[in-house]
Amino acid sequence: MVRERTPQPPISRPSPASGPGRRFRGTQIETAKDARNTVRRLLSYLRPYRLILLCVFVLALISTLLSLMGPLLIGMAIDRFITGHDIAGLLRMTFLMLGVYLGSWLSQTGQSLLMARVSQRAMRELRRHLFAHLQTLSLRFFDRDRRGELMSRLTNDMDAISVLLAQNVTALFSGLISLVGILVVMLMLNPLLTLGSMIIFPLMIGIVGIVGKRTRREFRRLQTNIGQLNATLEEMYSSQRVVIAFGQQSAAGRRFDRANETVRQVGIRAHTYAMLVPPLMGILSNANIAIVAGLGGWMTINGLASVGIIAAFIAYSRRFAAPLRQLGGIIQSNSGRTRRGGTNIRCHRRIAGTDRSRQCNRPR
Amino acid sequence: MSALLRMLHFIIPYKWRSIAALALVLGMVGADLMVPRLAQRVIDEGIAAGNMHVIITTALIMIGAAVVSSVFAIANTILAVQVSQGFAADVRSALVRKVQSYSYANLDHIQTGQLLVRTTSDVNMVQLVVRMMLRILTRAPVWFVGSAVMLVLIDRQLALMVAAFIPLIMGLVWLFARKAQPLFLWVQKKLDKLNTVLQENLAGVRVVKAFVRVDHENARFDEANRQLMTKTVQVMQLMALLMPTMMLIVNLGIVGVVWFGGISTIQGEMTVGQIVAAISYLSFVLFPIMMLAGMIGPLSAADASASRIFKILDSSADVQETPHARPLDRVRGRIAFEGVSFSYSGINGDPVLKDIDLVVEPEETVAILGTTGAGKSTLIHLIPRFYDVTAGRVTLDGIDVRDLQLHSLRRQIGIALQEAVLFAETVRNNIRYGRPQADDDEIIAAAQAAQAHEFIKALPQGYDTLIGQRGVNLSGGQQQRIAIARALLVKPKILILDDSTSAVDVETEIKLQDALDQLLQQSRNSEWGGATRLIVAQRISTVLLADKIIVLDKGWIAAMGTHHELLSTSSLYQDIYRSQLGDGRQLEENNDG
Ligand SMILES: Nc1ncnc2c1ncn2[C@@H]1O[C@H](COP(=O)(O)OP(=O)(O)O)[C@@H](O)[C@H]1O
Ligand SMILES: [Mg+2]
Repeated sequence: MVRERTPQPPISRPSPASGPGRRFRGTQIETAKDARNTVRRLLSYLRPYRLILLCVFVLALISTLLSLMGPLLIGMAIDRFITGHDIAGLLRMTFLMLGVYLGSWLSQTGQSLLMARVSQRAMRELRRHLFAHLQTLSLRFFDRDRRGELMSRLTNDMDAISVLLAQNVTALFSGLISLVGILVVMLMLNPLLTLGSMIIFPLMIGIVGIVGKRTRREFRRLQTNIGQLNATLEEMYSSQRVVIAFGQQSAAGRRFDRANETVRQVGIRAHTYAMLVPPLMGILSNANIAIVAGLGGWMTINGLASVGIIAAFIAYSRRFAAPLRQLGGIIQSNSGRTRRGGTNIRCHRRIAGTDRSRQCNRPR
Repeated sequence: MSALLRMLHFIIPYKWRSIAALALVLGMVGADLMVPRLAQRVIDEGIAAGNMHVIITTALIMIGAAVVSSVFAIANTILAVQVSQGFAADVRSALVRKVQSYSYANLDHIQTGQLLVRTTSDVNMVQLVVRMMLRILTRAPVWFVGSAVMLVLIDRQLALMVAAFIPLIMGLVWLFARKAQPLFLWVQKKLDKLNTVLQENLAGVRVVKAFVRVDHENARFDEANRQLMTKTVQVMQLMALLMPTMMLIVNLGIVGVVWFGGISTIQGEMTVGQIVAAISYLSFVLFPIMMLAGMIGPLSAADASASRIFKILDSSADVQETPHARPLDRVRGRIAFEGVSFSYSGINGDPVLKDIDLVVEPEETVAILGTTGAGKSTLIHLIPRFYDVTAGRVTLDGIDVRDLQLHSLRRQIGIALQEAVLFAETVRNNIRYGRPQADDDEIIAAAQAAQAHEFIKALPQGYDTLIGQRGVNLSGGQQQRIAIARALLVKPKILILDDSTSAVDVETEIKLQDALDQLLQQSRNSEWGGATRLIVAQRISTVLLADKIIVLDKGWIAAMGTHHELLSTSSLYQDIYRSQLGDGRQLEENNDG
């Protein structure tokens, strides 16, 4: 069985909150409400495409369900026809599998094609609004060195939002369906074996939870430090003429070095924690297979399961980890992304406050 | 991909850790590859034979393999993160070092925002890819070959069938890479274009507004925006086709395994366990290919980032120290311009200064007058070698400034630039910026001479008050006076004030001039030893007492002499004199902060 992987969106620049891409101004602490508002605001850009989105979701549902049938059919093929020496049945099953896989391919392709269109149209709208809005701003906002900051912020946030729109909305959906679907199918096939194979699940969730919490803490620290590094860079670059005039290059360099080194060290910690999750999930899926094999083997000998069921469970175990990892990744990176989107839109609002125009509220 | 490959240069300090990271992947993949084989053993030798012992021991081995695989993966992760973060820090450092070596001409050609993006998101993008590479680069091929071998071990016939699929997949990926690579680059370019339009508009907002070109700008942006969308949709749709199709191919392979393997099993030539294992390995074969295909996007983006980074790293400072440059120790402060011409755009460009001949004797005060754009700032920027002359030469104590060590030359010069840039620091740190070891008495003396002491004392925390966004906002005149104090504090042999009192009211300016006279007079008897003064000014009142007044006009020296000489010889000077008297004395303080 194939582990599903959503393609990396092509134009995403920075990894989620993983580097000095933007400047976090010291004490801005984001609340859950902020993030929710941001998501709502972003989703409002998708509103004109409700119908297409509905199609996308229906297709996603179909493709996920169809791809879930694969292991089930393999199990049936083994138990009924291969073990049962039924070549005609096996042929029928083979054609059924072909049909299912083709259907899954069609719906998946259709869904991605549509989503690419919709998300990029929405992005275009967003960029257009932003630009039109920038043009109506009071000059004060653009004074001096704010430009560089604003610029890098806009670029990064745009990238982040593009990823959010393009990838996550459907990935989240099909990930959830996959999880639930797999669980349901497994329970239907063999409740006892399902229970057995889920034994280490809470343990893994616990570990991932702990790691995730530390990750978030470290990332917050990292963001603060990145903010400081960016502030240092910004000041250094924008005052470079003075630095030259007074021959203070090495002093400026030393200041940068300190900030740079801190970011390196904190970055190592934060990213190490963040990247512990996939290997941990790897244990989950491999150990699951071991349990399925062991427990399933024992049960089969005692007439409580069958080889086909074991085969299906092995396939499902492999699949289970993928959406879980994906969901974990999405949740983790989104807390970063919406946050970034949040600052972007907040900055919009701040701008709007100083000016009569309230364009950033337009997409309602 | 050449830029990205060049980036590997920055990995060299971490080569052992990188190699270790790549090697650890072998252990990880090895353990992963064992799992389906073990599952096969459970089915064939355990279940089929009813052997509980085999089942239990094999399951335990599988758990062991799972743990081993993860331990290797974690070790790989730790190393990959260390290398990539170190790499990113090093590249940032290299960029900063390069910018530090820049002169004003370099800075004219690149905006702060661009530099920031290079140092932040571009470095980040490359860093991301480095990390991905360290985790995937060896994993993908090893995994691929490993699972192919395992397939052959299971059943030759099946492996042959799968082998038929491999060229199909490879061909697909190749086709995709060929189509996608240029598209990715294209999107990257469009994105840059859009950013450029955005940036130009941010930078030139005043201009756009002034000339009501908003419609035009909107159209320009819309066009860039539309193109970006079209191309991005194309890229994403290509991806949308590739990924499910690859999955379909593998799934077809699985159907093949079920059918052919099923028949073989029915005929007793294969076992059910082998079918189960073969299905697992089949997915394994594809996984690395999909990983690699998924990297095409980030790779292209990182390559674009890398080439932008190299654009900076490969640039060379416009003003450079010659190898035989000499240090300066005892400076008298005689400055001479000998047939100097200067153009901002090289020898063939429009000259901004034309054939300037000028001598400033030690400890003289020379005032430079002229309309905006006459070339005053340009002229004085040639002395500290912010720019190099296009023709002729500028000498200090008879030595061409190009033959002097840069640091040693600039140490002699205290300059208040036309735009008073202060740092978001305390007032004290701003004043002692050029000489951090200066003590409080010296700082206060400099501030007093610059007529800044009084208002600084009135600030909330006096000299410890923070300036800028997180602190107080100073008026333009106040900023200028701090910049003058900063220039004075370095006890320069050459003091240059470029229109540094434009926002200071006339009363204060006169006081400032007097205080300066006094300070420099006193300095003659100290180790400072007096200074040559060049003052760019707008107001006649500023220049009345100068030893020499130079009137610049369109890059030429239109007149030169004392106030009285010029008043009788230069009609241009007379015009300026009259117009300023006509205006009366402008007694305004421009509070533009
Ligand atoms: N960095 C630069 N790059 C290109 N042209 C410049 C630059 N700085 C100034 N100029 C041009 O050179 C001429 C002289 O400028 P400047 O020396 O700043 O005049 P002033 O200081 O007398 O107002 C002007 O036409 C100006 O547009
Ligand atoms: Mg000037």
